[in-house]
Amino acid sequence: MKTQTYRAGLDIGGTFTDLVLVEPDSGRLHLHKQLTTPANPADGALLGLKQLLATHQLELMQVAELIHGTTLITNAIIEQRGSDTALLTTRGFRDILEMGNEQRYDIYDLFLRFPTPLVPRRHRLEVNERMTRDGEPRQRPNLDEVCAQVEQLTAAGVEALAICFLHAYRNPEHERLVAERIRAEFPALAVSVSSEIIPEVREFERTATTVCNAYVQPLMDHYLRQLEQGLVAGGFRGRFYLMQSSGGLATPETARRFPIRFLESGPAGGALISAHLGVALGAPDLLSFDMGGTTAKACLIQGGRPDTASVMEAGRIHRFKSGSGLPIKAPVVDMIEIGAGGGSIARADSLGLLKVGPQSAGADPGPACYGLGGTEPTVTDACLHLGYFDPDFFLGGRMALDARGSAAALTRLGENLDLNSDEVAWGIYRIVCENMAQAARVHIIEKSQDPRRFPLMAFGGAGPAHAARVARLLGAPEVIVPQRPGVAATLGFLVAPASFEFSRSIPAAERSLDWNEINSLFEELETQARDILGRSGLGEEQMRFERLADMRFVGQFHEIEVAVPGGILSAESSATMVKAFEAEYARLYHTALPGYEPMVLNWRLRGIGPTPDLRSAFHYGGDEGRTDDLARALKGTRRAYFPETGHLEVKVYDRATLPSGSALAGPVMVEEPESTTIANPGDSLSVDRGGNLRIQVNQA
Amino acid sequence: MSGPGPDPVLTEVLRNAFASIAEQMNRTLIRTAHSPVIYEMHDCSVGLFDRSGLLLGQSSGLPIFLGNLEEGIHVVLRQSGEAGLEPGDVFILNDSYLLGTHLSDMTVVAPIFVAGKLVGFSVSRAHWRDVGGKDPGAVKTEDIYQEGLRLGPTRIVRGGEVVEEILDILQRNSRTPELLRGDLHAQLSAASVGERGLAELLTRYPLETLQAAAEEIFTHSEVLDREAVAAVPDGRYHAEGLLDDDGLGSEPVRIALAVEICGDEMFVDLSGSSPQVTGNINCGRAQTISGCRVAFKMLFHPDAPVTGGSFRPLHVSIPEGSIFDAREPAACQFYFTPLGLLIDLFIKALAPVLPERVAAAHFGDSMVVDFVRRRPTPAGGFFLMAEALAGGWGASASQEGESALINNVNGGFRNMPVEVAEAKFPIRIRRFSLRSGSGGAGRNRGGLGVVREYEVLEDSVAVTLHLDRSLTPGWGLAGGGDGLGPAAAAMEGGEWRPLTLKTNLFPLPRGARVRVETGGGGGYGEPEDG
Repeated sequence: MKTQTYRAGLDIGGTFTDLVLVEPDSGRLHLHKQLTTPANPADGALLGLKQLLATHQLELMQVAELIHGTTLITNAIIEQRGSDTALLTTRGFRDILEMGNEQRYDIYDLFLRFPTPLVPRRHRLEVNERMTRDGEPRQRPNLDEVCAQVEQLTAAGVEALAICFLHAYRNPEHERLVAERIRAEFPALAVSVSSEIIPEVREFERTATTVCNAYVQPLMDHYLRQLEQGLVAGGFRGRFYLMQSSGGLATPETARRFPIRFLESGPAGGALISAHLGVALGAPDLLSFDMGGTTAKACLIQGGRPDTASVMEAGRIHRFKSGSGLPIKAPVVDMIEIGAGGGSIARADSLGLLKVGPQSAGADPGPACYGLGGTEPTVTDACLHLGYFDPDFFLGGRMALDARGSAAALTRLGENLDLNSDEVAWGIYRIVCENMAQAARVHIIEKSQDPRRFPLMAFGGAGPAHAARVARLLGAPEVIVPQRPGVAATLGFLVAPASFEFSRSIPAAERSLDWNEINSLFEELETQARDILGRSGLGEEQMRFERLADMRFVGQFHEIEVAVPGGILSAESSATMVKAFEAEYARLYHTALPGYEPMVLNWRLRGIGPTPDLRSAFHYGGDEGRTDDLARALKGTRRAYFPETGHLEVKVYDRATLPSGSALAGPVMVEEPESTTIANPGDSLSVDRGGNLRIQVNQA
Repeated sequence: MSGPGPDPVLTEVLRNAFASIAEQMNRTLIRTAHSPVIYEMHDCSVGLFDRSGLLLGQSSGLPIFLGNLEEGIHVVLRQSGEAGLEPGDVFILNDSYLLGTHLSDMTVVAPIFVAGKLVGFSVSRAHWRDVGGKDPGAVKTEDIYQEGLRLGPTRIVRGGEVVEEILDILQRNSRTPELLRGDLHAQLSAASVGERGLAELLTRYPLETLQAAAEEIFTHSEVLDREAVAAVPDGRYHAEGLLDDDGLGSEPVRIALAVEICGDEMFVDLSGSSPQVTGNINCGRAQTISGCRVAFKMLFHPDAPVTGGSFRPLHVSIPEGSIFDAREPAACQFYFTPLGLLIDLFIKALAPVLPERVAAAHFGDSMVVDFVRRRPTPAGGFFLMAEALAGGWGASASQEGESALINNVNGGFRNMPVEVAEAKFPIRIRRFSLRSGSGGAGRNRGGLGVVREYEVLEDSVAVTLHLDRSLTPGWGLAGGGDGLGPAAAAMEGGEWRPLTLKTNLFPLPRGARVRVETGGGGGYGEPEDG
């Protein structure tokens, strides 16, 4: 009889579906990459999974755990392909969703546009109900009236309903009453309730988040059902989890209730694998650096963990203009994203300066060197022209690049800038690296850390080709390029613990906190977390809980997260919290504010399951097929440009056969099918026992 | 690889670095401020400047602040001279006649020294809740002395230490001394972020490189602006409109401008505008120039960054003692009301020759609504809940007008969430919605204004309104209709009665309601066209 022992990761992106399979004992990895099947992504994924298994004479029933992340839900929001959704609000406030915060995200643009509201005005209905600011019911909703309203909506074809009443973060009773009744009378309707989704103050953000959740709920449900049915039909009997934006795993049941917690699963996976490998390599503090085709993401990892942020923005009209999209309040790994990827287009801007990104050529037409009709030079064209990429070994040789196409595009752009093609190529590469370094520096400094302290963990298709230069600009000591940098995010799925966060707003000054209320709140939140972790198949002994408070000074409105001590809370515990808060405030803003009174806005509880065993989950040993012969790994030389040396012939090595323990002096290049690693003049590159490339960055 | 001379690569790298420092300053200011008007509504702006006061980088913020932040540096330099500046100095100032703003906009100018050498300035401007004055929010003032404490360049920090005696003067003259202290500290934090950012940049690049790059950026901005102006047909273009009154019930106040294009130079002449008025809608010269720059930027390359080389072809001629050149003792509290109309008119004047770049007029004013408790009651001490309401924007040839957006002078402003307002003040908001039918008709319709209805939850509260643009609402273009103007009403004992649009401390008993409706944007094109 075959046992369920394999673990698998499945990442469905807009273009590619990535699969990773881990062998139970050896920890050996098997990968599979294929095109996504947009019409029915579950079909393609299942097919790919079966193929991958079949290649290794395995069956679905041998998979003990499948962990899944996808951008499908995010894309549905961007492309407005969700369900017909309705919204119930407090009387007088149905337009909140459309009015937003009334900010002009571009102050000089006379032609601003905003995303079309996900609920049209005719489907936004007002309920005669009111809660006071202190959470006292002032007018109770008439449930019969509400049902009659909803009846009309369903008759008009509405499939999903969001409920968001004023001050429901303080007292959810009215929302709860209405939701219970509607769920009973309209079982087919997907219902999202603001006090369940995100019980926090600020009605626009809460409404937008709840509406977004409702909007994609039927889609998530439908998609998961197809995937689950296909898995079961194929003989799968293991556990099935999804990756949350926060970096924790959750069950399909949770994904159906809170689909908006799953929008950024891929980036979260990337941060997790960086953290995981960093811990394994004795570098728990590092910068995760992920550069793909369209964007680059940087995420500071400290103590083996990324930070989480509480809000993100989806479906922006202008991808890199904050405020042009929909705010989503849900825990998300805290990272910065900038418009710098292999496909980023270089242009002369209106000031006559060389500008790179944020527009991207994408996959079609793609960079000029793809020969698919792209005429503007991109970062990939610059890399090719500089000699950093081999035109005959792109994607492992599956796609030949047109070096002359790149040169022509670079030359054309150079004519506007008075630069030759070499200067333009280096300019593009330099600007994109400087932009990423600048953004990473801000990200790190805002956490009051020194950018020179953190090694870079570089992955994504373009990360390894840029990381050493970015590290040099940051003053960072080292770059680590893990094995399989092109599918690192999917690997990250396999090192995530189950994790759920619950929160409640109870704004109060620190000295007037009602500790009985707080203690019973945490009891309640912990019960919820225990329940949901239990349903993920975890035993009591495997669960751990973190308690946090969002604090600020009375009179301010931006919070700082502070750890809450364990056990029963009392006035003594608050002294610890206040001390931690004041220290963090001084660290962040370089100002102490003695004499100001601290207060708490939100209380949060995270229930966390065990992290998959760090040592055994992966195979760190050298792969077979490796040899101790460095000469065999040498593929040849290529003429490349570095500003320190000018053009010169640079050795190119094949990563698959490069032995552990190798030590090479920069400049040097190491190729593998998904990416090329560049070490610059003065750097030294070595291969550690785990097969990771380690670049010691020369800071002279 | 590049030879001597301008380097478009390094210059781009440094331009990004300057902008990034400004962005960090702004975020620090917003995150550490104590007044909701700053942290919630973002009534603030910051900029990073070179040692001669030319703009290196700015973040998004209030357009009319950003248009002329450098004036603060010039004023400080005029007073102290460069030699009079010491490391560790920080100045504050708010004089309406020097900076053009009202007194509650506090400008903080911090010279940046690296290794004992002046290398630049960080400047921030933020709206402080209260700097004194005869009434909270300073309505119906007739001279500047009624509007609060007036400061020329004042060293609030010397040798890196806050000068407590001066802070004490400020606090003793404010109804909200604690907020004042918190907001000052927030601006000082932003200044130190700017200082550290520039110092850090100087560890990587020598000052000469930075200056050369800055010069390069300025030159490019200037060329860009000149090319844009040169592309407009030479000629003299006019527009004019009326403000409802001066706030004290005067006759309508005329705002007129002529824009003359002469090659690559643009001359704006405001001589047709009203002389200085008795009420408090006078605007200092510095902010008048800022308003013209905002309009200029909306028409020409709105996506290109503003730099120290921007606006060089723009010349503004302001008659002395006019409403746009306030002189002592003119009252200036609502200086932004004529600017909102001026910006709309600037665009209207050029509409015939720039049809693709213009939109119909927007609702036009900051639509200020203040609820105040002036004297301590058993319920608590002084409070001032101040809001600027959004409205509809104008349609254009390419799209309908957007609804419910803040007006042109305020830009990056955000509204106060209902739940935040209710949690902080004894006010219940009963309705906050779009105002149906308020947008101008047209082939593309104007955006909608908003309706905000308040209920007062205790006695001793009064309301103040400053709403303009009923005589000159958001006008249509190319045959499009006008949007509705603003409206206000109060309900006591079950009956709605209209309120005057400029209402000063109208007392409200507990349970009374106030409803404010803002205007819509103008439509574009004949409605029949489709």
